[in-house]
Amino acid sequence: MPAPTKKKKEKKPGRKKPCKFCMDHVEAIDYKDHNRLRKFVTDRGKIAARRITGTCARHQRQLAIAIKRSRHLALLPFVREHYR
Amino acid sequence: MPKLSKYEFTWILDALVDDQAVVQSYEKYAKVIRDQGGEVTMHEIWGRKKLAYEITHKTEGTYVFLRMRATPAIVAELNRVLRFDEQVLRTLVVLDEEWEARNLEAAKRAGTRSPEHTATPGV
Repeated sequence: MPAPTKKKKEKKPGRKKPCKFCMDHVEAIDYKDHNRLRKFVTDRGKIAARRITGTCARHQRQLAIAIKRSRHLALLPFVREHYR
Repeated sequence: MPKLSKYEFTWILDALVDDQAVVQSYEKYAKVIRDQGGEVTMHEIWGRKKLAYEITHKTEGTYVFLRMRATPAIVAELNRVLRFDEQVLRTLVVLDEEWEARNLEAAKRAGTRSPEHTATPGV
């Protein structure tokens, strides 16, 4: 008797996360608002992916620029201290 | 006369400089802007903050922020002058996207109050 073939688990599409910036009616993301930006970087300090945070494409583009500017001004780290 | 654009200009001073020198630094760069035909529309001293990473072995810096109307030539001159200032750790000049006004307007359109935004970054 042939071994039962493992059925490939079907991935459910799942509920789409809402974009936090759209919810708050944010038109332009500011690089000075580093406390808000901090929620969109991983604990290593990398920019979090859209699939993790649910940010929409338009805001993710703005967010990436804002985080990079914020890093330049040393408001956000490039890499977290304990990973260096 | 070339068209003036809106810019935001932030620079970080060594935290060792005293309050008077911070104001002097602001006045020095405001003068550079005005002498070249630009204008400073607002300024703010954010004060001493801890840096997220060391810049030339310094862990703290004093942030100074201003909004200006200037030409690309003025920005180039400003960057040139800033290079020679040893007190300045880091600078950033970007086009002013007027995020504050735009966000307020968007919130008004949506009929809600704007979220907790301030021009000064939180400590």
